Amino acid sequence: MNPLLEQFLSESREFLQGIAEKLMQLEDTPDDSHLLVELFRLVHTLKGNSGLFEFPEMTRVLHAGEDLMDAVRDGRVAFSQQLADQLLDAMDFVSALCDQIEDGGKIEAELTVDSYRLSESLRALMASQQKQAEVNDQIEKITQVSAEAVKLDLSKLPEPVRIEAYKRTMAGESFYWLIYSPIETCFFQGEDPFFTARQTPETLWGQITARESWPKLSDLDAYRCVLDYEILTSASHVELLEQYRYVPDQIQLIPVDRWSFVIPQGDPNGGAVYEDFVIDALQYLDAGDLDSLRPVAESMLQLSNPDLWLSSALRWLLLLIDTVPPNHQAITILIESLRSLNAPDWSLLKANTNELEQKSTVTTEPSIPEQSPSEPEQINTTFIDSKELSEEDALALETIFAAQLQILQIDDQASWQFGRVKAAAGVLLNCCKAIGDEKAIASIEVAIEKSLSSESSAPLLAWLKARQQTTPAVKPAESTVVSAELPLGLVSLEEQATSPEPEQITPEIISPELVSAEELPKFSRRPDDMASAKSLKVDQSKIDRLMNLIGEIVVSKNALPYLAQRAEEQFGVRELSREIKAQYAVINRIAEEMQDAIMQVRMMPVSFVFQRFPRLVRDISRKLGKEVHLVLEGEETEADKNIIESLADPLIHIVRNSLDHGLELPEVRRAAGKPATGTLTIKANQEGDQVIIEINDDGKGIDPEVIKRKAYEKNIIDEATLERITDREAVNLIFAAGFSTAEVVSDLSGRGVGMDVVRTAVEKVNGTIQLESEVGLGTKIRISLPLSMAVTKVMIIESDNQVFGLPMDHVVEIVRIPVSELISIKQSKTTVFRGKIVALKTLNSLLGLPTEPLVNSDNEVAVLIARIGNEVMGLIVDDFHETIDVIQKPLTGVLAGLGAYSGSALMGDGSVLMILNVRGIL
Amino acid sequence: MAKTIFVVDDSATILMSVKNNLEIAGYTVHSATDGVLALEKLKTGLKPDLIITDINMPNMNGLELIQQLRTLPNFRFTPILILTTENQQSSRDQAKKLGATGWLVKPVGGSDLLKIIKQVLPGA
Amino acid sequence: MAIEYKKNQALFVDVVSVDEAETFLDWLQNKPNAKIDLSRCNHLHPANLQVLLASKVAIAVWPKDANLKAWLETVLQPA
Repeated sequence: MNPLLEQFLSESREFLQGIAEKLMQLEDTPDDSHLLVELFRLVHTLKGNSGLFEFPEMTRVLHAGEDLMDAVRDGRVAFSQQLADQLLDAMDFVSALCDQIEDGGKIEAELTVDSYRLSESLRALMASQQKQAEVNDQIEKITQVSAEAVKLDLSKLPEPVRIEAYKRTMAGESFYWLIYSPIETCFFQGEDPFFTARQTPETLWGQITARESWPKLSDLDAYRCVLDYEILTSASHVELLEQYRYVPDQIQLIPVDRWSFVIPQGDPNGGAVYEDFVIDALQYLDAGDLDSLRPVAESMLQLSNPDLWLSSALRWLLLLIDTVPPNHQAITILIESLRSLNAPDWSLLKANTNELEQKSTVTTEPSIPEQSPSEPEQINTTFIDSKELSEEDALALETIFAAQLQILQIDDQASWQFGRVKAAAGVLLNCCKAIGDEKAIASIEVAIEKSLSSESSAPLLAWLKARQQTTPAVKPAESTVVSAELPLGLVSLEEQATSPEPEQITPEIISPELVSAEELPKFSRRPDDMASAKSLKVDQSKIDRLMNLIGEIVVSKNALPYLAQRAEEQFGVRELSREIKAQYAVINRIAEEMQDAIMQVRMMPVSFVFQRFPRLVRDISRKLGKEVHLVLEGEETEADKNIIESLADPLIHIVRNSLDHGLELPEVRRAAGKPATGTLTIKANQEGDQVIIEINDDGKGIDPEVIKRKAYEKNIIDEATLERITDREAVNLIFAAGFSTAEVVSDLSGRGVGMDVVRTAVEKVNGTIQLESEVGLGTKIRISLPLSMAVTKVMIIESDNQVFGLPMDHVVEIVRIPVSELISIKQSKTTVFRGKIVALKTLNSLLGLPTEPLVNSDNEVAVLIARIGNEVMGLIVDDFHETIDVIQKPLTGVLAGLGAYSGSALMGDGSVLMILNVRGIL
Repeated sequence: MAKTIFVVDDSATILMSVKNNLEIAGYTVHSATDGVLALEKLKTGLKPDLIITDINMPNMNGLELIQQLRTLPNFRFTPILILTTENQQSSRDQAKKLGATGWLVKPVGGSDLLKIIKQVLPGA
Repeated sequence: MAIEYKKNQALFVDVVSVDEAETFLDWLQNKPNAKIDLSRCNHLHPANLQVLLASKVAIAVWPKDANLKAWLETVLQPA
């Protein structure tokens, strides 16, 4: 999976968890505006992230959630439990999507429909009218600048520039005169207007002007912007709005009429007599004889000083004559101006421009904007608005729609039809949403529903065809108006129109996000200083490997004492032996520290498990109609990852049981004089090398008499036990195997479901579980677990010439008991130990070894007093050895089925030690 | 000389994506995950040529960050782009008033982002 | 990059940023006969340009950058 996606998924899970937490906190304090803002932020960020990828299902639901939370945040919609339910559903859905993406990198098609359903139901929570109001509001805010009519005077432009511009208009280009007046404070918005002006695309000429005269230097405020920029550019309206996207209110765009360039300039005095020339010229013109007019004008020009106004006018005249096709009226006007020595009055021409232009220029004429030339075009002051439809988008949309039409018309395999309809429906709906066409959304949703329910593409096809008739093609007129809203990177309409394959456009539209997401893996690095690099996410397998290696070091170092022993005993070098021992001490210390360090790495807080309880308790109690207040304490308490993870299921079981059978319905509680809301407390804390988890409820408790009777009926206890068992012992019988069955649960006024499963799970990680209960007052379950399970302290015992390991957790004491004190009751041996009767078993017989246990010279047997659960018993072995730390490895392969051993460990001398599973052999 | 860009976003995913895009384009990128952390880093003498910030962030949001930055002599004139999923005109207007240079709506493709950076950053 | 000050001359190098304007303004106030060398300048923030304009200081050398030169010539007077 690519790192960005990985990052996204892991972050999404954090967000989802956060959202669920916040939602539940909000149920308690619905007016907490801070929480609302936080919640909105989480949904909003998650949605933003999802937008980086192509997960429309996810984005759709999150978008709806975001809108809803936005409304709640602004107080437009009240927070309610129903709302929380819906949002939680939606987040569960997103979470499921995350799982799917992680598994296969793709979202199943079926979920598309779900995503619509969910987003619809979220949106339904928002009053539709207010939504509409908001939209209207936004439209109103797009204020229009109606710039005052500016009399465009281009005489300040050098003649060569104007000639160039004129020629280019004749070649089909059109020009804008752009006036950019940045606001005085713009420097403090990080702007560089000069840079913006210089970057203006297709600039033919530009100038800077000061808005006011300059003060003395000492009075100058260099940071008050007083410079304006004027630019002649042939860039399109769209390109210009893109360039000035952040300051559209500070520019004026004035379409330039080509005749505005034609201004004779120069010294009006001197030169030849024009009168004759004018008369001749007009005659030629009337006769349509431009070929005769040209040499006359040329010779006039040669005779005149080039700096004269006359010369300039003649140069223009020649240019006009050579223009193909020539505009006779324009030439006439220019010649008339020669007579009067006044600037040509192009307004005479403009009156008839349209007509003339149409006549004289058929194909080469550029699209001179229809507005009166001297009136600046109105532009929007928005930064950019992505909702409006640009030319490219419109065209792309049509292409997409056409493609869907084609898809829907395919009718080869019926089995594919459903998926196809769904896919097309998704595309169409997305398109409509993308362009914000509310009407279309409404109508297409009806069509989609019909199509999906009838499993036929007909309703969708009908919709598509109807739509195509109403919008046969992209309308250029419309698009020029909305082009102000164009997003980036668009080609002009002309280019679009000539692009031969519409298919080429579709991928372009979709690509920006896709490409960025897909190209990244090649280059991506993890953001290094993210979150100040205080924590590091590491794959667990790497930690496990490190732990295994450290485990091996711990074991290997155990070989050194053997080596020292051999050096001394076998080779007689005491000096070397001492040195090896000294070195061993050092290595041992380091190894222990490493072990400790890796344990620290593996530690995680119990909150990892606790965090799911608020939701669990909320959901179950709501289902049961109970009112429960959940209290979590000590969430920061840490334990080994495996321990924490193994805790999850038992805890959920216990909590379920508490809710199900422990806590009463509100009315029952009230009748019993208790508060209607029950309290469930889950508390974690560390005691020595144990983690203690307590689950308390103030429910009705467990009746020991009922338990006793049931246990007796189920043959879990015999009559004798029934008589002498304490209440405390009795309630703990619910953990006994075979006690909890569905039948028991149904008529038992207490808890019971799978409590033996809970016990088994706890004991698997060497934990213990105890229960205390008082009828009417509540129940307390206490689980104690080791902090870490990676290293097990075992005692080495010997029996029948074999050594075994026995976890120290089980060892209470080791004693030697004279054979005379062993009492045989029926088949089994017992002894009295510290005033208590302890049952004895020989390890040999338990392991099926025929040998009798060894008796030492004092006629004693070695007895290991072991604690198993709450029971104590004696295990007769041959001898005891030292205790060592081992890294237990589970048995694999055919050995995995051996219940007598919990695993194996490697000893310092390379031998294998089998670790006994005490519970398994009894 | 490589231009320095400071990116503020509480989403590690967005940070990663933006950073990747910018670094590939040759920019030096620094980042922070909320307004407070950003201010902390920016007060240590780091003077990026451009700042890109999200709006919705914990501890200190992007608008507050801009407001604070504009009071610091070092950042009076630094171009600041907002990168957010929000798209309300009122927020945009407010951002401008507080001193934001521009506004980008997520998700922004890499090339679009670079194009806009080139528009606001002379010599980029 | 910045403005390099040499006795009576200010040399604009690369992109002269907005932050330079304050210092430049101070410097110019004490150097009424300063000469400005823009030859190596590619761009200058308009705050600097405003200082140049208000001071009516002589531009000793115009930018090699033709585009910048064209823009500046519309508003700055040659020496």
